[in-house]
This record gives sequence, C-alpha cells and structure tokens, in this order.
Amino acid sequence: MLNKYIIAALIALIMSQSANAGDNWIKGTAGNLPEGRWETGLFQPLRYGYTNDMEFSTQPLLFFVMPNLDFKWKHDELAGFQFATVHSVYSPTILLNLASREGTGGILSPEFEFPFMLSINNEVLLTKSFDANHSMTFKLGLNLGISGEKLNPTSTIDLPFFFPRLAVFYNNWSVNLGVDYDGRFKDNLIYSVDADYYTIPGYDYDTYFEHKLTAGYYKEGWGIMAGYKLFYGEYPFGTQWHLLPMFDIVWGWN
Amino acid sequence: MYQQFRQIMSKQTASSIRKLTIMVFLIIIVIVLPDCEPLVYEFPSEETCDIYENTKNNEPQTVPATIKVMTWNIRFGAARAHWFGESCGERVVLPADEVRQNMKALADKINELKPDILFLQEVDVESRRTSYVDEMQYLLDNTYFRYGVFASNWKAQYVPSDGLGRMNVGTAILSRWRINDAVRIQLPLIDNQDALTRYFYIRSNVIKSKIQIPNGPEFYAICTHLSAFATDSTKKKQVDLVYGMLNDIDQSGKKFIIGGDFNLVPPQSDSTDYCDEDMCQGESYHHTGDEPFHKDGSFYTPEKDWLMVFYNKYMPDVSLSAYTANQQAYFTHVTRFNTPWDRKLDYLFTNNKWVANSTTTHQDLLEYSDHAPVSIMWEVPNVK
Repeated sequence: MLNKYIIAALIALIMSQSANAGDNWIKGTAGNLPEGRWETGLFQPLRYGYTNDMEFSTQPLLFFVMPNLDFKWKHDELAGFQFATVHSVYSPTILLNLASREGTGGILSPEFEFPFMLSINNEVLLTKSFDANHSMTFKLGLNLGISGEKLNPTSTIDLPFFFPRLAVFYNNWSVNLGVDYDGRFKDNLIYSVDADYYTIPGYDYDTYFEHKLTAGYYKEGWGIMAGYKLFYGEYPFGTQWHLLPMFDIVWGWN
Repeated sequence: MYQQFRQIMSKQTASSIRKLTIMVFLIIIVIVLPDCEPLVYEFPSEETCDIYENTKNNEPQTVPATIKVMTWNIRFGAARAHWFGESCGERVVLPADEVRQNMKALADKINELKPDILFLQEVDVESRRTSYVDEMQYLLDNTYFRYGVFASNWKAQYVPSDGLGRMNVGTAILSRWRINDAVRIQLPLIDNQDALTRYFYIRSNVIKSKIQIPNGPEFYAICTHLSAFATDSTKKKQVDLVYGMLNDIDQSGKKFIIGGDFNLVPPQSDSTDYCDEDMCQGESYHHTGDEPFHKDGSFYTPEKDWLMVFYNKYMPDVSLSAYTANQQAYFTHVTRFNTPWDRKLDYLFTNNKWVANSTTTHQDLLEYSDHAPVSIMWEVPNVK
C-alpha cells in the first residue's frame, strides 16, 4: 500500500506541473484566482484566491509527506506587464525517507537517511497580454535549498523532474528561467506552451531544460487537459532526453 | 512607448509567434523521439553487441601455439563489499572512489595473470550502484587488451526496488585480437515471476563472437551468465539453448571456447544445497512452514545433472574425475565473507584441446570478488 502511495505521490508531483489557462484556470501567469475561488484537480494543487491579489496553493496529495505551500502575490503593473511574485516552501524529508526503503517501491537506497530539508523558492512573473485570448509570461526564480546536514552525493534520484528540483539541496541554490505562452484556440479550447531552464551553478550537473505543451477543454466548473512534457538534462550518468505524457481533470468553485 | 509596444504586439504577431512556437516544438519532438529510451530495455532475441577498442594497445601479429583464456565474474567491481543483493549485506550504492579502487585491483591482477582472452560477467557500465563507473572502459584503459565486446543483461533507466535506480550491467569479452560478428543472444526469462518483477528483472544472455588471430585461425569466443535465482526450469532451458548453439558451431567444423558463470554446480558434486551457507540473519529454510522452503539461488539439487551434456561432449576446464577427486580445489564461489570458496559455478569448455594440467582456479583471489577466476591454456588450432 505504501509502495503504491509513494509512486502515486511522485507521479502526482510531475503531473501537478501541468499548467492551465483560461479565465479562471490561469496558473503559470502573473494572474491570480479571483477572491473566494477554489480550484483543484486529480493532480493539480489545491488553489484558493484569498483576495484578488493573493493566492495560496498546496499539493494536497503530497502535503502530509511533503509539506508544501505556495503564495502568489499580484503587484501593480510594471511597464505594461502584469507583475506577480510567487513564494514557495516545501520540505521533502518525509517523502524521501519513505522512498528510501528495501524491496519494491524503494526509489532510494535504505542506507540513506535524509535530514531535515527545506526549499525556499522566490519567482518573479511578468505577463504580457496580446489580446483577450493570448498572453506570454516570463519567469525568473531563485531557489534556495537548506539541509540539516550534508547530503550523500550518491543519494540523488536520477530521473527527470526530480533531479533538478532536488539538486538544490546538494548545491544550496539554483536559478530558473522560463517563458509561457497561453492562448485560446476557440471558446473553451485552451492551450499552453512553456519552456523552463534550470541552472545549478557550481554543481557538476548544472543544466536542465523542460518544455511542456498542453491543451484542455475548460468550462466554468471543470476542465480536462492532456499534453506532454519534454525533459533534457545533465545527470550523474550523462545527458538524456525524456518525453512523458500528461493529463488531468480539474474542477473549481466559488 | 507602451502604446507602441501594444501595436507591435498585434494579433498578427501573436499568430506568428504561435505558428513559430508550434514549428519549433515539432522539430524538437522529431529530434528527441529517437533518443527516448524505454524505462526498461527489453532485448530482441538477437542483436549486435557494443564494441570497445583501445587503439593504444597493440594487436599481436604472430600466431601463438597456445593462448591463455580466463573467465571471471567480477561482481560489478564491488569486491567483497557487504552488498544487499546476494551477500546479506546492507549496502546498495558504492561511491565511485571505492569502485575505481576495486577496479584497479582487478586490472592489476589481470595484468599479472595475462590472459589473452577474458570472459567477464557482472560488468557495470552505467549503474547507480557503482556510481556510473564504466568498468568495461576502465578495464580496457588499464590493461593490455585492444578489443572488447559488451552485452547488457540488465538495462533499465530506473529499477524502483531497494534503491537500485539506473542499471546497466552485462557480460563481456576482452581480447588481444580483433573480435568480429559479436551478437547478444537472449536467454529464456524466468517463468515463475509476476509480470512487474519480470519486467524490471535481469535478462540473461550469451555473447557469441568470433576472434580472428592475424595470419591465424578464426574461432568462436562465447561468454554467458545464466540466471542465478531461477527456481523453475528456466536454467535448463538456458543450458539447452547454449548447448544447442555450441553443437551448431561444432557441426560446422569451427572451434569454440565458452566461458562463464553458469550458476550450476558440476554433476557429482557432494553438496548441492547451500541454503544454510547462504542464509542471512532472520531467514529460515528447511523447516515446516518455511516459505520458500529453499533459498532462491542456493538449492542446486534438482539441477545437479544439467551440465552433464557439456561434460559428455566437450572439454571442460576441470574433468569430472579430477573434480570429484578433490572438489574443494576447484570451487569458485562463496557468498559469505571470510569463508573459503564452497562451490564451483564458473566454467570453460571447448571443442578443441586444452593444454594438459594447465587449469588454475585462482582461489587466492578471495578479496576481489565473490567468484574466483578460472584460467587455462588453449591449443590454437592449426588452420586458417
């Protein structure tokens, strides 16, 4: 049972990166959920519009094994761009220690015991709307990784998605840059394309790239999306590309 | 300025960006898709082996009367580390420094023993457990061999069990002379595993290759590593496949040498049940209610005659009469630490001639691996 939960939680972690777009379904832009609106999905984080300028979100599937909280704060426009900052914290210690186990589901060797770890991420989002249906968002983030003690360098998870996000704990900091393009094919048919670059300065494996293309059908209260995510990165064994399918069902309410 | 920007970023511009974006991503997918590996590599029944060559090492041009061949399961360069998998240990991932140190010891010993052809088993080339040290390349770079072939028997991007992670381990042949036509032949998979375990599990193989001595004969060099933990008839099927392959070569009039870890004890062995010897703390075997009743990979009794066909038809490194007269002298394997070798699992066979009394089971090399190498001199056939 625990094996299945660990694997489900890790899949959810990847899937939760799928971006939504649309009037209410905006996630990867500087826009916020309206005050009082809730949104979530099978894999999506639970988001709540606290005010029209402030939004909280967390990944509930993971919360008890990887406490996590995001806070998006919308600021005044900046040179014609919507401007927001996102401040996130998460601690993967419990999840990693659960994944360090003997037998099936042992993602990591049981010989590793992970100390308290905390990641603090701060990201700037600048969104330019071309018209009512299309926008482009630029992202710049600084990620800090704090670890109670020095981690064993062979305890990395050498898989896409996980490696660059956990690398921050081995290197203490990393930077990410990205661009999102969100648009509407037709009334409820929405697409999102993005590209993200991670650099982990000073780390042996310091370059990482992700790109995603999703399309979804969204109504006021629910939506369904599918797409793919492409990964390229440097790992301890060398470089590798990965292409993974993505899907999700989302719903929202006021 | 803002108004100007708005004008520039008109709908047409947005449309152009959209088209350009789609084009770029389509191109990326076309480039990337061929590079995308499956999570676990499921081998075809036969495929070409990876070829290694170290051009700094010379290829001898004279035809020797005899050559030295050796087989060695090098335990993925773990030496006698207390690894979890087969030795009741607790370790899973070995740091690169430790692996390189073990590989240096192996390379130094190989340089001292100087086989002309070396059959290797459990060679890691890109595994998390050995910190991604390419042991095949290491041996080629640090010995006198010019040529090598490698074939994986366990290749997965991630094995989600015990923290094994990425795995690429296999069998290999190193040779002073050029290796041609090397193919990896898939051996039957273990039947009695559930589908998920089977998907992520080891896929045993045989490397079948030809070695060409310049101005001399061409002969077959074959390396194999049969399933260690099969508890059904899988190993028998593997033996039959290998035996059939050797018979085909023999009937074609060609000479062969085969070396490997057969994971079978010789016929007429006094001991065929090693459950007690291999038992880890907290395990129990041979008692009512024990499940399994025998430890996987340690109970050879049902298999004790499976190698007889090889002994009956081909020349073994140690004859059965010599073996039965002094079995301990030819043991090549032990799982526990600080105990003498307790069974023979590693063999060399040929359809040509070994030089009489030239076999050595290198039992002094207890610290290098959980297998001892076996070497012997082979008479080079006088044909081109």
